[in-house]
Amino acid sequence: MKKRLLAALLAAAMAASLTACGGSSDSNASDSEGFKILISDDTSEGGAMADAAKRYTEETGIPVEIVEVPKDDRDTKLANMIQGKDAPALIRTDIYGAYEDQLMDLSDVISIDEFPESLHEKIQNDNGELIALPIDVTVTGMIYNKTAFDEAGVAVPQSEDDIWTWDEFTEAVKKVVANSNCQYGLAFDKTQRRYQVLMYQFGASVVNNDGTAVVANSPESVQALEYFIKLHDDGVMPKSVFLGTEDPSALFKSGQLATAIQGSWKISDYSENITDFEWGVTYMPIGTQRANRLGGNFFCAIKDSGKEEQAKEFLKWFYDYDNFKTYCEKGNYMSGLNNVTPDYSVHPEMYQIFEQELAASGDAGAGDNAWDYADVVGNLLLDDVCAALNGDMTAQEAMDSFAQEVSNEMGIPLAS
Amino acid sequence: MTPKKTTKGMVAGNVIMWVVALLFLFPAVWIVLCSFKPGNELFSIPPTLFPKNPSFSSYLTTWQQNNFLHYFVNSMIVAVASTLITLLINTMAGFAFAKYRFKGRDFIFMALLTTMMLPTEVIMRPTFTVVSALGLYNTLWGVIIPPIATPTGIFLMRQYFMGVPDSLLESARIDGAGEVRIFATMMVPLAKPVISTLTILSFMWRWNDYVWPMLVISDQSKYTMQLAIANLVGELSIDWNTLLCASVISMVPMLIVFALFQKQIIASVMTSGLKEG
Repeated sequence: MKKRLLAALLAAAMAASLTACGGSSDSNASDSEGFKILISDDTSEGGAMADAAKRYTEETGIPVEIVEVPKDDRDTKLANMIQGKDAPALIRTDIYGAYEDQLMDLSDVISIDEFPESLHEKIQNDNGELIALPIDVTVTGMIYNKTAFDEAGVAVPQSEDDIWTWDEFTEAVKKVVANSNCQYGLAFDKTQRRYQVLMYQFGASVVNNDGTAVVANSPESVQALEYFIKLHDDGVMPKSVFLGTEDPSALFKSGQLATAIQGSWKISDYSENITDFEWGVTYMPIGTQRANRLGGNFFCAIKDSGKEEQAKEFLKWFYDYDNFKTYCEKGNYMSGLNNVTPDYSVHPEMYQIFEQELAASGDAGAGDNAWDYADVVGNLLLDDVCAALNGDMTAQEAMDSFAQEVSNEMGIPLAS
Repeated sequence: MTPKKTTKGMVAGNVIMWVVALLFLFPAVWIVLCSFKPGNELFSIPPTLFPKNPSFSSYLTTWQQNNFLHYFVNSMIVAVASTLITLLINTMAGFAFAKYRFKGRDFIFMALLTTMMLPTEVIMRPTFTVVSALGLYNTLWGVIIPPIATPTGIFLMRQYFMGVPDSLLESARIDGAGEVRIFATMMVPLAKPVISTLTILSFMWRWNDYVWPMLVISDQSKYTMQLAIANLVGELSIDWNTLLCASVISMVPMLIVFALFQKQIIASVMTSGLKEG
């Protein structure tokens, strides 16, 4: 009896293994004319790239395989794919500085003039090769709880002519918090990119516009940080976000926030998941200037992937007007191509305000943007901002320390 | 007086156990209840325990649209195959280490134990090189094979078989039983509780494994549940509904395995009387 059990166990193990084997031997894209695209955050943003790959395969018969891993694991995955002789032909990424040397020149795929000029410096390497092609651009804007503003009888700016100053904004949201169910006036995600929006609006930046000196401890920068701390001390912003792990999106969805400075990517999420109150998009406050922190994704092609030509063919197809527009609309992305304006399926009027924010962003932070410094510098900024917020350092000390760290990390001198 | 005291103590003990059990149970129950909430209820203030408008639609999209059925099957193949082979190899190895005397036995065993002291992360890179050289990269075999001869399992088995009296084996041998028969008909049934323990552990390890499959698998069609779930958490947006449903789905097999094998452990604890005097 027991012997039979053991035999059965063995047989089952073999059967399971055979199934596993059989299931794994087919459709290996790297053996055929197909190729792979390494990507992050496609599923969570609506699967627009998976959809584009499917359309490409339907039209050309060439299989495209999307390899999706979380962003934090992307570099590890890339290294392992290369080691396993399975390099992806293309990567969709937001940062590519770390493997700039492994990227192909794509200037014969598309002209650089098709992309916004503000990105030109960033997408070329020192030899003038076009190593990254912008896909979508991200900017931040101000999303607000319309129901709460109406309850409190506070109006939001209706056009670019009557934008709040930061002080006016603070007064307005304080009134909203006092006269509605909102607990806080403002929150934004705990990332360096969001903090940099505030920095730029106050006329500060990490490096100067031509990238020759670190200016992170300028008086403007210190002033921005002091203002940021004051917003927290006055209870306008919840400390639990930057000093804890509170999620601003959750706060906004639950109706506890009057405003949130967030990206256009939030619109589809909020449209689907907020039904208890009305919300809208308005203009971010102005400091010494209007400013934004540009972000977005890029296509990079790997040298020596063995699939270079396939990659280029795909990119030519992808940047075709109609195909590109469909991609943007599927993921509700703002276009990184100059002449493409997607027809957004939800709240096009809100996207319009984000487009205005993009147009108004000017060249504030141009030096930071071109540098595209690694996450490590961004983490240093967050650490120092949080230390100042926590009272461990003064704003001046925090920015001095940050400027010195950036200077060491990047090998750029401090501004004298 | 004495019986009354015991009752009081028992009541207090029970209450404490219930409280602790509920504390541990709450997050799991919360996830299950939330998975039935539509997106707009997830963040409502004040939070409600039960969904106001329960809906299964998220489960349907998770199952169909996001291809989770496929990932679920992949995870099942990996966890079941890996656990079966692990059990087979570890029981045999544990038995050999415990009951056979051969040259170098203690040295090999010590060497095995030493590998327990190395964190898995340290040997990941060399293991990857081996897997890649064997042509197992991007196959489910590449996920199944490397962790099967776990030293923890062999150690568990050996320690258990050490407790089985040699006289039992000797009498079986005198009665004419061969070694394979002794192992299969006497030792394996005796080791039921420890086999159950190892089954639960191994299934749990393989089912929840993330880093290793992430390194080895690159075809999305071969992704396991955990790889697919990780992709639901984006940098900029999180699909909470799908994430909750997928998490609940991924809890179910663990619960079943635990329910099945936990009984075995308890049953054998109650019936085990076999000790050499």
